[in-house]
Amino acid sequence: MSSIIYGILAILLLAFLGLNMLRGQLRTEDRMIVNEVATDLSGVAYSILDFIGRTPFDELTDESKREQPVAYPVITSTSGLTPVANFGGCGALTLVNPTCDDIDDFDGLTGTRTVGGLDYTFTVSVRYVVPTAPETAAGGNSYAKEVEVEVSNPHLTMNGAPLPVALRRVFTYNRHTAAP
Amino acid sequence: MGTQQMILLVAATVIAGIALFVLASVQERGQEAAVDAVQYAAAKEDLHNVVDMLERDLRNMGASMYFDAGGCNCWVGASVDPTTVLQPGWYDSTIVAGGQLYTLQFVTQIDSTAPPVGVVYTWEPTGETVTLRNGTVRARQRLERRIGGTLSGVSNDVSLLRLRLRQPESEPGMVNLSDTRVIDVTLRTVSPLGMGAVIEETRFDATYRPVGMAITDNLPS
Repeated sequence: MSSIIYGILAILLLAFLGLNMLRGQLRTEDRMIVNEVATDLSGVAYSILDFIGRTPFDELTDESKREQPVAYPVITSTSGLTPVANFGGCGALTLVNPTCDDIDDFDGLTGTRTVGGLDYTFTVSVRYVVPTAPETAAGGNSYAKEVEVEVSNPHLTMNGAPLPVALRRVFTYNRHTAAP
Repeated sequence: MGTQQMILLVAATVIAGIALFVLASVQERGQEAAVDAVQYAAAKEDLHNVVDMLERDLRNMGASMYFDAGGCNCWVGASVDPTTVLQPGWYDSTIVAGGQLYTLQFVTQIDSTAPPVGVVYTWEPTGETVTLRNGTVRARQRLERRIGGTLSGVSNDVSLLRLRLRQPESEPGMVNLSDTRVIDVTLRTVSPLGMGAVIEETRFDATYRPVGMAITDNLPS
């Protein structure tokens, strides 16, 4: 009788060991897949940041809408720049949309991009930051805007919730001085 | 030893054999996974190196130049005119053994304190091929980056590099390369140690919009 119990215990121990090794292996493979998805996430974020970076710093500094040739300085103070309360308005990443013609228009924009058959959800937020300390939010208008793009995918999760990857880029404006 | 004991002994031996076999199999798979992870890390490292190099060069294409319309009415800040950053024939391909040799040449700024320089990228088959699980055969490529004729970056593990130069929101087929405003990058690399089992080739896709290339767009005609 005791030998049967020992036998069962041995099999249970073996099963425990085997399943633990399998779990370790699956965790390794899972990390590789997560790493792959995370690289895609950064590619999507780069692309969106570049897209937004092609637009003028502000509606007020859009030189294509000014009398040509443009006289410098284009502006002399931050007072006429778009106030934070008026940020947003862009509904999609498209260049022909007049509501997406400067950086702050993209504030609050959400959407989905597909890369390699996987859907990535993104959210954009824009804020004024201090040009000399771009990690610090500015109290009002300034010559620097920080764009944050947060991208997530259902396959990259932590505790069951999507784990977003956030990339930030600061765009500055320097044509408020005499030379561009 | 009685018959019953004999049967029990045989049964125990068989069970022990099966258990050992299962354990050995699991152990082997574990080792394969560990090797695979190392291969993947090698492929990923190479991908990151190539992306790091490409991204800086492509995003700075045409950088460090501006038109001082309010002042000297000329291009300031560089010795090159932005319309010459990408000249006709600077993105080309020729047929070579095992595939095609691609060449991309452009002017970029690799250091914010230095003037723009000409960068040449070439990539061509090394002669080796990798076959993916879905049957796709990829030619392993050697990618080289040269500045002033000096080799300044290389990768032997590129399995696919596709650059699509285009205008905003348009399909490829531009007449003038200097009209390039958007660059779609599709990059795949494989491990130098052999193709991975879980992830055969690691990938990176991005779309770059070099700000320097658009600098001429709003100038008075």
